[in-house]
Amino acid sequence: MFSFGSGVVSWSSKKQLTIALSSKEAEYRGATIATCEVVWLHKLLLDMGQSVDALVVIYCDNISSILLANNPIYHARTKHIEVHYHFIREKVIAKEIDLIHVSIEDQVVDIFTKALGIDKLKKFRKMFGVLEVDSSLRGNVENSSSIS
Amino acid sequence: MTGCKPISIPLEQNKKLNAYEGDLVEDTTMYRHIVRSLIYMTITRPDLSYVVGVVSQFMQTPRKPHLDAVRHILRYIKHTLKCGIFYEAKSQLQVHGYTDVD
Repeated sequence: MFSFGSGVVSWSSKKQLTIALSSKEAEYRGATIATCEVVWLHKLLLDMGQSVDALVVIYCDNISSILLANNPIYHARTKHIEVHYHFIREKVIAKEIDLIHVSIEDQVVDIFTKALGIDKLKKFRKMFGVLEVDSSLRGNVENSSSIS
Repeated sequence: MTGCKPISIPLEQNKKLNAYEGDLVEDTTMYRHIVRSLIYMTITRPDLSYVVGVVSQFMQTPRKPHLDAVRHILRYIKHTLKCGIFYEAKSQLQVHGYTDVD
């Protein structure tokens, strides 16, 4: 999930593409997919003439996958992970992204992975920028004609 | 469904749905039609994407518990009809990413 300003601009919730042997590995793959999205978003924003801070922060709730991405060493537990999933390491070294730990309490994307209780749902919905707006969000014909 | 009671969460916590339990839904077209509309709705309502993903797994052979879950979502939508993504004009333009798996 990506937020730009106060609201979300891009998100995806889907089944894992391949079976992961550990949760660390699953998170690592998830982070790589997010990195691909960062690269695209970055280019898109530049095309629109919007300068972006070079470093994009990605929040992840799994510490070992963060360590894995930050430390590009060969590791017995990761030798089977396909090479293209190590794309994230390249981006971390190039200082294009920064992977930061976030506690479960503030992990907004929980909304995409499980059914939440009312408190968390409300909190995360707010963090998403999904707000209750009194007036209609959709402009209707009458309004637009009166403005013009 | 217009007279239904609004509910504050889209799916009960710890609710497990599976493909084999419960009576088959007679009007499968109706089920698919509703889920199709719900998928369209996730474009502007990210808070629905998880639950809609769950119910769309049973498009092939929808059963009673699945239809109940869909009704539950519809009641939640009624509760949050006025919600939409709001982009504040004065907010800081900074990209933040979040990632998680389950």
